[in-house]
Amino acid sequence: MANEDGAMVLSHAARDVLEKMFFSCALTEAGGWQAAPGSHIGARLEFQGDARGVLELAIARSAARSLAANFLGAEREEEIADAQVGEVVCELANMICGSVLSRLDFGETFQLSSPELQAQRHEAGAGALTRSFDLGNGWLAVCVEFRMPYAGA
Amino acid sequence: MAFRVLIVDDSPAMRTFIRRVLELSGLELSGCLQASGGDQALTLLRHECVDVILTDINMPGMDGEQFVSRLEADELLRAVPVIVVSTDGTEGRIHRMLSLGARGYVTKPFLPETLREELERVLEAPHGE
Repeated sequence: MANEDGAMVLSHAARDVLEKMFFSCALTEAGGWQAAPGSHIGARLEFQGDARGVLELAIARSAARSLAANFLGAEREEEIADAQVGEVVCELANMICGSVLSRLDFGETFQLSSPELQAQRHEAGAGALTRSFDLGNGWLAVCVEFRMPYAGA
Repeated sequence: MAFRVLIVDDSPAMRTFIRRVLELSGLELSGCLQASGGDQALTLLRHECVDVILTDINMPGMDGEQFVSRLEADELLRAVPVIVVSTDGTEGRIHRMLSLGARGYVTKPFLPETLREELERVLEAPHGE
């Protein structure tokens, strides 16, 4: 799978999740990781199956709180506890990862680890798929790195 | 007709989301129970009756596949229809869950109306379909 195709799959998957589950949309999109360290909430999960790898994402704190309010149906963003924002960010990572893998459909079922919040992003390899989305009140950056045995990205 | 649902998902946020979708769906919801995994769901079902179960697959402990298999193996519980709600939308997984006994499947992300329509289809179907 060429990197271009993979980037398109990631883009479609992320946009689909944002629109359907978070009632949000990306104003613009860019390649690369558009997330300044320290101002974002990060999450990570691993996937296994016919393809193995890692998904990491980072989302601006303001954007994360907005998405959490949308997802949980809160009338005011201030109602949402920090822990709940973290849970929603983990669920965002879970759904984007599942959507990417489902679209690629390697032929075997896949397993996702429980997403975990992380402060620091790990350096991804050259073949990783990375896209960033401007949500209006901050960026969401997503990186999917495939590891052996699948190395087609 | 009012129905009682059990939502099985290890994510509290996702359980809240699904409950909210159901409450706003226009369907008549008479009760909404929640469990964080298959083990807790089975314990709950010993004492509570529900009309439909919505379950995730990837959960720690007893996962969705094991849970659906356990329900199907139980003489009483196999009558309760199960709809899988999962991020895994691959053909292989969908086929597998339906072959284990699930009556419906909704892939995340989903539009609220998609879940409502699947619920209506499953609840209105004669037993065994």
